[in-house]
Amino acid sequence: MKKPPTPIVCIAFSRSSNELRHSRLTDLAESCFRFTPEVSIREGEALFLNMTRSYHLFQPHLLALKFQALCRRFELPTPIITHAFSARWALVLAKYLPNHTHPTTSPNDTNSELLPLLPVEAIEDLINPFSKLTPEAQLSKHLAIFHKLGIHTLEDLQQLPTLELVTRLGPLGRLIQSSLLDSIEPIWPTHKPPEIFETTQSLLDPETCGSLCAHQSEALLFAIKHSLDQLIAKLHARHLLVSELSLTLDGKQARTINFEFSQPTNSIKSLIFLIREQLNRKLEQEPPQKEHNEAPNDSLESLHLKVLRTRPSRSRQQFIFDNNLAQTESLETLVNRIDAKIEKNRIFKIRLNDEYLPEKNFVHESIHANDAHEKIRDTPKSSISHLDFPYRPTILLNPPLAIKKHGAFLYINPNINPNITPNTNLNADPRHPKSSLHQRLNLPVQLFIIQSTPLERIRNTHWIHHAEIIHSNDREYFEVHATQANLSPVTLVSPPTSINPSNGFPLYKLWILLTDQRYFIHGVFD
Amino acid sequence: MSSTPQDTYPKIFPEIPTNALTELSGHLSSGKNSLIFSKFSHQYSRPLIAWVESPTISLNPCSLLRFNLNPDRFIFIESPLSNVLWCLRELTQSELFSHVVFSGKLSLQLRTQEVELRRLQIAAKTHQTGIVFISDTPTLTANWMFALQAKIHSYAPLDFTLLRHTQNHQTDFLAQSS
Repeated sequence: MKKPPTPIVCIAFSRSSNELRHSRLTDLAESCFRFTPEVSIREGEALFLNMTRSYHLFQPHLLALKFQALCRRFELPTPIITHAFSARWALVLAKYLPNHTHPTTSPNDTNSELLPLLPVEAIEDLINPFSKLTPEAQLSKHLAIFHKLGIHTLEDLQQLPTLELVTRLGPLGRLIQSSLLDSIEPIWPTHKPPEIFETTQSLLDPETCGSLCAHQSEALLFAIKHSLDQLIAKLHARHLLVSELSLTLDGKQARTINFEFSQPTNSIKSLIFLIREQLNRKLEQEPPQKEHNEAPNDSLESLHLKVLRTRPSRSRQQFIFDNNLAQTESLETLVNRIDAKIEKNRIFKIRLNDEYLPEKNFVHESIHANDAHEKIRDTPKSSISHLDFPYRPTILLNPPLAIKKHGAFLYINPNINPNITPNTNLNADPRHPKSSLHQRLNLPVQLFIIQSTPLERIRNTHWIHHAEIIHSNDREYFEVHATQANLSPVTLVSPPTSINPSNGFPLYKLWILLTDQRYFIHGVFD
Repeated sequence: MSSTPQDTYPKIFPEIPTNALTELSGHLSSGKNSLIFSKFSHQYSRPLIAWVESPTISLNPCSLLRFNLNPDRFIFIESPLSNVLWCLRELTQSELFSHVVFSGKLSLQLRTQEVELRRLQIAAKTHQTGIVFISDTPTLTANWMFALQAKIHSYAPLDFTLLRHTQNHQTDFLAQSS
């Protein structure tokens, strides 16, 4: 069969036309599937149709009229329709020679005819007809240089020695040369309209002539589950997981609620739990409005579920003896449930860093269930050994608790007067700025130092999280053994070691930070 | 400087059950955290351990290395006190963890605390997951719902008081009912 003369059709629009929206262009692309399935879009600018196999089915002059009619139907401006042997030349013709009435008959004579007529700026479109590459930023500065060198048309550019162009511009020069010679055709990015998963369910009950109300969340969940079952069945067949879902409740008080899941899933049980949590929270925040002090009339007519975002699931075949897959799914479900109930990012793992600062030597890492089990399996022990770290406490305080040291005594409240009667229970004082931390620590207000051992000194660094000691550069850490001071500082004359922790006074092993002449409890050895 | 944990492995302390409630109490610096880490480093039924704690006072992950524990085994949950019980139940029911540890004071109303603990006990038994409470003071002294309840005085040298320890939890419940 004879090859059709110009199989690539370009439907181009002026870029200045603001009304050309992406959605309209995608609508037009979908309507063009009747001509060919090989449709591609240049973002906001043009549409390409590869009609190699279908061109003979249409009469060329009628085809142009059909395209124009379609554009009018989608409220798009009048297009420029060009035909060529490649998408790049079809675009260049549409942009720079819209009135060119002699379409080329063979791929080889395209260049020779058109090159003198085209400005050097057309090289950008020749290189990147589908706007999928990003060499334009580099090209724009070269274009100015081309003009300075007297290269104004593509013909001038083609006459440059190939070796010179590649030597000067590198890969870009090679790309220019191949585009001018049509030696390499760019990959055709076929436009695939996104799959929309949605379902609508009527909530009007024909038997009772009544309907569900928005505040009947439990009853509503039954209806949602019915729709969700259908949606998940569709997604499951395509190996997709739900990341974001939208629920629209149509009725007198219509509302739309979006559900976002931190771990994509297609488990109905998990999704229903998450939807129930968020739905109840939403209904509490925005309860149905009452009319004239009557009961809220928020009867619903229908519900509409739509999947907004999906993620591909594991398409590999399940290994039936591998127990990790079930565990991974359980972990995903767990993370979702905790995120929905408490707050996001409240469940995490720890990754150790090669840093000496206590607040920087580990970071919180969100849990990706896929690698949680594999990581443990692959690395039975952490790559960082305990020998890399100095002796440090098991409990860290965040932020560190400011204290005052006076002689052999530590005062938990820095504002406390050392001469006041000891054993004042500050924990019960709600006005104390650190009362919550105090209560949790359950430390006495006044401590007597039994033993102090210097542990480590960190120099030439700075505190980043807490502004109050940001100017500090050096840190000294001590392991301080202290006990509750039940005696007045004046009367205590006995040596510190005489205090026996087993006599009802607990021995506290504190990690004390000294920085900029200020003391903090930064951790506790427990 | 304290001795290394390997030298002071508490062999005399009972194993932490993986299907019942445990409570380790002791004042700050009593070594209850060190004790639980030592036990976890030698007990390995399932790889993961869940650690529920308060945001202001947190476990120092680097200290786990001293006990030859891989920090990757731990999953941390910062939960407000109001959601702790729910959180513990969810973690237990997932059957992913060998132990679920809550470090902090469980604030239960006197009237409902036995019911809540009983729920957790059943969940632990059903899902073969140990639930461990680490607190300053015992929740309920020598309560029948705990399979192991101990008050820790110091870790090195190990000094503790066993408030309650039972091997067969089911018979114990039947005895309590009768």
